[in-house]
Amino acid sequence: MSQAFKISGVIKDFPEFKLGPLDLELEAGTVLGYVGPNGSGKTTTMHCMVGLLKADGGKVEIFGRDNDPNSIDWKFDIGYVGDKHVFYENWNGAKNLKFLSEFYPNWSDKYVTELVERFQVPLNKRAKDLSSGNRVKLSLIGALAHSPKLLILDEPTAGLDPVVRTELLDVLFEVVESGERAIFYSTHILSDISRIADVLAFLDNGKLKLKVAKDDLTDNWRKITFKLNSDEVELTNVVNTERQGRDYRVISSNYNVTIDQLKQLNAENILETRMSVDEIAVEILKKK
Amino acid sequence: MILNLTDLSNEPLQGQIARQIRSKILSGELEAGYMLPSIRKLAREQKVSVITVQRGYELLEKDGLIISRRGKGYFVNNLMKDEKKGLSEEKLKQNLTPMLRVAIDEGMKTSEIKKIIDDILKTF
Amino acid sequence: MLKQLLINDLKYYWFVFMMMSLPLIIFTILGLTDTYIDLNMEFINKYFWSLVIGLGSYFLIYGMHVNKYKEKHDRVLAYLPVPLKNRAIYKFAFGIFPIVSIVFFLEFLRTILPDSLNTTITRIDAQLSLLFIFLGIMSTSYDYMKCPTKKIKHSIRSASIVIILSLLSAGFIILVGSETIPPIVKGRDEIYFYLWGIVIAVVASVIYYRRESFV
Repeated sequence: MSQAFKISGVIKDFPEFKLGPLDLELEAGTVLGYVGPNGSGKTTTMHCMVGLLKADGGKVEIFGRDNDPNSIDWKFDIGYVGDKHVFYENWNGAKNLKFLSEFYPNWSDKYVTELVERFQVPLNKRAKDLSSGNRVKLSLIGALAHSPKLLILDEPTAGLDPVVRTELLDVLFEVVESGERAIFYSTHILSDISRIADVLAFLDNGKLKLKVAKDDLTDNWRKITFKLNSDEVELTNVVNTERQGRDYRVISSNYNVTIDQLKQLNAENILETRMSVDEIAVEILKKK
Repeated sequence: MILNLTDLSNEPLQGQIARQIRSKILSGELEAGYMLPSIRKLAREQKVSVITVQRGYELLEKDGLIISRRGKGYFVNNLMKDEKKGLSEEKLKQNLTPMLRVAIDEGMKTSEIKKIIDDILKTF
Repeated sequence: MLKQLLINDLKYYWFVFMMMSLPLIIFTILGLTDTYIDLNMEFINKYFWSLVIGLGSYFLIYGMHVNKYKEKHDRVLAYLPVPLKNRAIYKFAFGIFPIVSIVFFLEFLRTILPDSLNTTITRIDAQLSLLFIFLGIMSTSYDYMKCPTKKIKHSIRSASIVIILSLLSAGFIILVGSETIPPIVKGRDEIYFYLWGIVIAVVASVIYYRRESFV
């Protein structure tokens, strides 16, 4: 299976912040969710991938090709929606899309028409008169129209209402269905898109904290409540403990192990509930 | 395939997928030899990640309910009637055991529990 | 790709190009029909056209560059499939294209208009050439802000580039003006200014090529 992208040792230095060294890969047919607080370096990573920023070290490969600013082959494989939505403001959506279409041999007007219909974007309004939600939608169409093998989306659902977000998810699911394409999206709101992600990568302060299959997280993390008489509770895999008298509530990153330990300690009234991806992400990012 | 998946229950998504397909198989709705939707297709239909569906299918495969034929897909296994019955009994035991334990812990007597079970069955 | 980008700019900024052409067309018509604006103010009579066409073009072209900066055209082109080399050449071409077109048009006018207007046209030329240099310096300093050498702050870097190029330009103009450098064509000093403007446009293009950030 081919690798949609491979980031090896990428470093980018800023006065107050340093990204990397960063190593991250994505296999074709997979969806990778890039999670982290604001300012952790998600946008910078994507800037370095698509050619907006030149990294200070390391390299980026897109489907096996270096992201060399002087070659364009690798760019045909990418559809990018960034943190800023840039248009010819005095032109309407149709003209803006026409401008983009000249650059991509794989551009499909038919697909554009379909997406315009699904997202309900007014193509005859000037770009500067579009609402921020419509601007996002227009950017998405511009990135999807040439059916790129790798979609790089920087907080794609920001500013979209729930109806459109669902529509976008549908489109994204269609994109990965064939198994040849891949999606790399960054977010700090997980509940929206968490169902589509196969893998999650957590970024904090420029460093990759954790890369894990999303299902591994939701399968293993639980909130567990129990009653215990002893004061000394030595539990592994527990990241958060609350206690009121004999009542305990903990968050476990491996509930099977924790429950076994609790049974050994003769804990009572053991109850466990699943956690949402959002809740798990908060705990992971809180950890040092 | 119509499934009813939710993020809100305590059961992981792959478990829900496996369980619901399993009951379709055991009830006869999906017959032996039926080809299940491909992993990617089901993932798109149900709006879940591919890995989730894959694990759900793996659970079903482990239980012997489906088999995968390389290059062709996943098919409902040819289960003998008593094999199916055995699987159903196994599941019922798994489900009932923790519930019965809770009831005993709370102080109910065996005869009381049996009466409740009878009452419930009468309503079906 | 280059031709496409330039045609695209023509389409997007058609109004600007039209406004730039208007004074030139009026000047041509007035010149051909031997009409002139007869005002009693010596200053205006002498410098009217050079100010209108020169400064007018300058503000319009500068406006285009500012608009391109505000709308972040550089950023889009950075992630579209256009090789960096082509983008640098495009930057150069877009920089010189409007003014060079006007210059060629003015040369053409010299042949069809009465000789009495030659001085006026020369004044327009001179005005334009200086503004050409000025535009080049502005563009260069902006791109220089996004270049490597992180040790020095952005604003200091680009301010120093403005100062250096301005000093070089001023020095150059003084040298030519004092006739230290013999003119290529007699009485047509401003050719040097245009050449110097093109040199600065090339520098701008090279600095653009070395940019590390198009964000």
